[in-house]
Amino acid sequence: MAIPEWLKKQSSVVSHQLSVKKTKERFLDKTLQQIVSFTEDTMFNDMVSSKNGFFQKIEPRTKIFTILIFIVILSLQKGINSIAIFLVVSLALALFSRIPLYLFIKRLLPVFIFTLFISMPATLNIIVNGKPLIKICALKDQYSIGRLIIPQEIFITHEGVLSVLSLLIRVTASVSFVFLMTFTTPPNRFIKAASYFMPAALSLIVSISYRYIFFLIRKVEEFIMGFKSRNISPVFYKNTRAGQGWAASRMSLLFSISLKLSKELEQAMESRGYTNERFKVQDSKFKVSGYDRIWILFSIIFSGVMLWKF
Amino acid sequence: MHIPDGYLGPYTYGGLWAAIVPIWIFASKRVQKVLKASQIPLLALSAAFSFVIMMFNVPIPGGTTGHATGVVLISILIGPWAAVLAVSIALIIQALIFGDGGITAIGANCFNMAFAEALVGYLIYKLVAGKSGITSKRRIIGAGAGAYIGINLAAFLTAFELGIQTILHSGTDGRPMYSPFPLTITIPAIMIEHVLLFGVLEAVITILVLIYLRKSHPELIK
Repeated sequence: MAIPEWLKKQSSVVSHQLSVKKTKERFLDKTLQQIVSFTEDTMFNDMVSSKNGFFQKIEPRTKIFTILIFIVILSLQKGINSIAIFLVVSLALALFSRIPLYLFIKRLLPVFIFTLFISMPATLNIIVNGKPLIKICALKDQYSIGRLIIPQEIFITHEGVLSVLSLLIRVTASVSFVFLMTFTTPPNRFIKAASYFMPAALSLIVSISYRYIFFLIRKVEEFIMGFKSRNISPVFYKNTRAGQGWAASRMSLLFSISLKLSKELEQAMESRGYTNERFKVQDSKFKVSGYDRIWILFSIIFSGVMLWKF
Repeated sequence: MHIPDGYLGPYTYGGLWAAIVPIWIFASKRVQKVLKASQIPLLALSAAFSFVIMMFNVPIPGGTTGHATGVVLISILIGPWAAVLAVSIALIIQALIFGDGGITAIGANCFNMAFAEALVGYLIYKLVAGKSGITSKRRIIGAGAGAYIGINLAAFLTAFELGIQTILHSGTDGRPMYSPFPLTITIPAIMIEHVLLFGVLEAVITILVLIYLRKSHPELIK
C-alpha cells in the first residue's frame, strides 16, 4: 500500500515543538542520569569487592581506621611531593587490589575536572601573587572590583601553579582513598564495620537508610518512566513551572511513601521485640590475618614517615 | 555545596567536627532521651528521603536544571532536631559510601546544611507561620522564606569556610595550602548564584511540596 502524500510532508511546527520538548525534558533525563550513575557505582562496587585482591582481604575495620588516618595525615601535608606520594600509594593499592586502573581513574575524573575547573583562576596573579611564569596580557591600567584588585599586567605565577597543583593532587588522593575503602568492601560489611566507630543506634539508622535509598530511587525511576510514557504533549515541556510542579508533586508523594514505610518498619520492629540493647550491628569477631599484619605494619611505617616529614 | 576533602585545612575541619558532635548529641537527646525504637525507622527513612531529594533535578527558567536540598522542607515535616540527624546521616552516607563530599569535611557539611540551614530555616518558618492553621498562607510564605534564607545561610557559611583558608593556612612562600580563593572571591562567587537562582528554586520547591502535601496528606504537616 502506498504511503499517502500528507504523511510524507514534514511539519515545521512539530519539529519545533519536539526541539522545545528536548530542551525542557532535560530535568527528567538528568535525574535519570544520576540514577544510572548511582546504579553504576553500586555495580562497580559489587564487581571490585568480589575480586581476590590485596585490599579486599584486609579486615574492614582495620581498613576503615587506617584509611581515615591516611586522609587526616594527607590533609596535614604541606609539600607538593609528599601530597603526590599519597596519590601514588592510593593508585598502587588500587592496582594491588586488582581494580582496573582506567575504571578507577574514570571514577576519579569528575572530582578532578571539577577541582581543576574551579581552581584554574588561582594560577593568575589576580588571586595568588608571586614569581611570573607566563605573561597573559597587559591592561591599560590597574582596576579594582570591590576589594578585588586586577593588576595592570596579568600573568600565571609560580606560586599559583603550585597552589592549584597541591589542591588538585590532595583532593584527588583523598577521594581515591575513599573509593579504595568503599569499592573493595561490600556495602553490608562496610556498614557493619563502620558501626564500630559510631553509636549503636546511629549505625542501625545508617544501615536501614542505605537499604531504603535503593527502594526510593527505584520509585523515582518509576515516576519518571511512567511520566515519560504517558506524556507526548510538548505544551507541558514549554512550561518550567509545570515541570517544577510535577517534581514537587512527586517529592510529596515520595515523602508520604517514606512515612508509610517508616510506620510499617516501626510496627515490624516492635512486633519482633526490638530494644535499644539489641541495636548493635556489628561484624563477626576481630580476626587478624597475615594480610592485615602486613597492612598494619605498612600503615604505621608510612604514617610515621609522612608525619615526621610534615 | 558539598565541600570535598582537601579544600579545608585542619583548623577549620577540626573545629567544625568539634562543633557538630555536641550538636548531634543534643539533637538525639531532643528527639528522645536516647533514640527509641519508634524514632529509628522515621529517621532512617527521612535520611533516605533527604538523600533521594538531592538527586531530583528540577527545571530552572532559561533551560538549565538544578536540584533542591530539601533540608528546610524535612525540618518542617519531621521537626528541626530530627532533621539535623536525618540530613546528617544522608550527608555521611554520601561521603562514606559514594565519595560525594569529603570525610574530613563531614563536620563542615553537616554544620552548614544539616544544622544551620535546618534550624534557621525552621525558625523563620515558625516566626512567620506563628500559630496559624494548616491552610493559612502564612505557613506557605514562612516555608518559602525559611527555605530561601536557610540555603543562603548554608551557602554563606560554605563560602566563609573556604575563603578563610588563605588567612589560616599559607605555605612558607606565602602560597595558599588549601582553597586558594580569598573571602572577596568565595563570597560573591557562591552567593550570587544562591541568592538569584538556587535560593529561589529551594523556596519554590519547598512551597510546592507543602501545597501538595496540604491537599493530599494534611495530617503529615506539623
